[in-house]
Amino acid sequence: MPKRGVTGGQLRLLSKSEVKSIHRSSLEVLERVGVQIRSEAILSVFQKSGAEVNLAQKNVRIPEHLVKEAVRKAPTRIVFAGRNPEFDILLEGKRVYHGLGGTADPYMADLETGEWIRPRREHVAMATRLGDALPNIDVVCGLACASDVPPEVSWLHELATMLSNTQKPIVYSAAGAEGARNALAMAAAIAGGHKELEKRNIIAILSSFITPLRMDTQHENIIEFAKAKVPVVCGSGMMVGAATPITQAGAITVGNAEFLCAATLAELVNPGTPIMYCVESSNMDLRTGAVLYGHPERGISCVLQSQMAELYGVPTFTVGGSTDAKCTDAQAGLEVMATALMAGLAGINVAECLGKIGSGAAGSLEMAVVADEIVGYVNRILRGVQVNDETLAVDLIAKVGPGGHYLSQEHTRKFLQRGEFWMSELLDREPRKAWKRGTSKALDEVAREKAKRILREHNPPALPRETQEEISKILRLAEKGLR
Amino acid sequence: MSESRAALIGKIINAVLNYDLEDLRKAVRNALAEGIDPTDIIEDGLGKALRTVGEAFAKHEMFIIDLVSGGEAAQQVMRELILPALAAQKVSMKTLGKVVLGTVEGDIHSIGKDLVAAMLFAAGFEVINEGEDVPTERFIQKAREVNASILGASALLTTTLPQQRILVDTIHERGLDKSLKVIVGGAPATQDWAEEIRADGYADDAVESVRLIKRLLGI
Repeated sequence: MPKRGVTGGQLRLLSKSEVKSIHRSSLEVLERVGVQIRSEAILSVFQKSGAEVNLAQKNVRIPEHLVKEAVRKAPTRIVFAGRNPEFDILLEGKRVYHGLGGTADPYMADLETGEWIRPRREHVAMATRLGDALPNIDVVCGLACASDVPPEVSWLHELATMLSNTQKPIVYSAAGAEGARNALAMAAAIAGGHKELEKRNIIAILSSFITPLRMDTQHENIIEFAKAKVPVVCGSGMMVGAATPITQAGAITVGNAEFLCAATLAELVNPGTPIMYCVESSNMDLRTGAVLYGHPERGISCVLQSQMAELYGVPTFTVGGSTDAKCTDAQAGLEVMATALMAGLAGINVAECLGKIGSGAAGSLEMAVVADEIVGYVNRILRGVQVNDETLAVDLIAKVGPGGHYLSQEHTRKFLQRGEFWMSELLDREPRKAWKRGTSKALDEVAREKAKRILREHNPPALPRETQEEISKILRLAEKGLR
Repeated sequence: MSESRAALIGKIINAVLNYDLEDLRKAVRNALAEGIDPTDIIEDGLGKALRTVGEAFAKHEMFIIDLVSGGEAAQQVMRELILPALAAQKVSMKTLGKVVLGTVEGDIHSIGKDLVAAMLFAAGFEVINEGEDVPTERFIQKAREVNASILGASALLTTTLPQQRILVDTIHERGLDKSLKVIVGGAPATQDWAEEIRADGYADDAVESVRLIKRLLGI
């Protein structure tokens, strides 16, 4: 029985007609401007479909009817599976789940010193184990890269390490057709075969457009995953103001068109392929040209993404709690809270990026612990309030009367049990004297200690020996440039 | 009666600061027609305007879009009007240095690299942007052809990142490393990676790239 996450989506910023305006604008972009596709394999799929393909310019214009068919075929629900079914989650509607990391970061903040170090496979394992343990993390993505192996295959080592260190569902990236086949082979080794992987999707692939409106051979991974009927996160990583119009409406028009193109490709290859909507929006920092993570416009974009995906009836995956701060400080706290809360209020199905700091440059295990707590806080907000005779409790109010108290009432115990108050192990709520006597530490230090404790104590079950050997074999072959 | 030199140059500066390509074309044409030296148009007109934007940018009063908007308008009239005028006079342009930029083979990401190009031009460098999916041979050939002092290679995927190592290795093998410095950038690249592959530098973003190149050239 998959986990049914808390329902978010309370915030809407677009009216029904505005949602349709964005949709129509994207259709116009696809029909009038088209997409540049530098891949023979992808061009060939579109050619057979009746889209307008200009081979000389490598441009594809996609007509509305193809888009409509694609959206109709895409499943509205995905049971995103863990290696262990206990960790399956149901992606549907506005149910909200959160993910650790995203694209693996080039640095990791050392737990002892806070210095940014170049992470190795052991750090990938540590980050994955932490994500496996944290209760509010439902999906594990990359938080650290493996810089101790050649970059040509580092991503494959990262995936292998992640598959070995968590029982939760994984979203990762593998560029190109061969990369995708290697990733599928590893996941199949764990699932018990390709047929089993199709039934129990324990991974999904993130394939991001080169915004604006370009695809190349790296996106052939969409074809491979669609053939295998393993979920494709149809992605756009937009640098707003540089790769898209600076307006949110213009930006999502571009990203939405890219999603529709990728969705059409996936459904043409294999109707019924599970897909997710990902049109993540990062402002370009106008002072440096770099990409921002913790800005308020990201939250707005989450709401827009959720509303557009609702029109198409597909689950969403996008950047949620994230920060530009370089360490676990007040800026990190405020930015991760704001972006995670907005993702929840938007109803994003998988809000990723927890634990990243420095605008996605570094993974931080202590930030992951803080972010896990933030998600708990956010989930309480999303659970909202229940109004019925029992909760209005007028008879109880009458019974207790003026000047009485509720502390020993059964009603109080009952609803506390049901989660009426969110309680935190991590956040400090003590009076100052007690705090000084006790930990007398700021949040980042407390979080660091919790991260260390989890890493000492938590070890997911190891993969069976034959599976480990199969994964090693795939790695060796990939390193030899063979398959 | 023809306008004074100051007034003509003033119109050029204003057109750049207003990002008005049409006005800029008119102003440059007038200036050339009135006999103002093209190198003066560059130095006192375009260059002055872009330096003004650059100074405001450093104070956070103007932003990247201002540098790029002004820079693109200036680059356009350079290509259309000023370089031909210089060629006719057989005079070459003085710049802070020549930089060849590109995204490595197999990679078509472009925005970051194009931003660096715009910022470098605005800072007074001559930029040769070779575009995307640039094989090592083309990088080197172009750098030698234009006598560039800096070669900048960008990579956005871990799978295309190794091309930066191949580029640096090839430059070293051919003994070109004395006269040609290579800098690298892009999301998967890091300072450690640059040192590992013996690149001459690494920059986090467009602003850092300009600082890095100035430092490498002793400017």
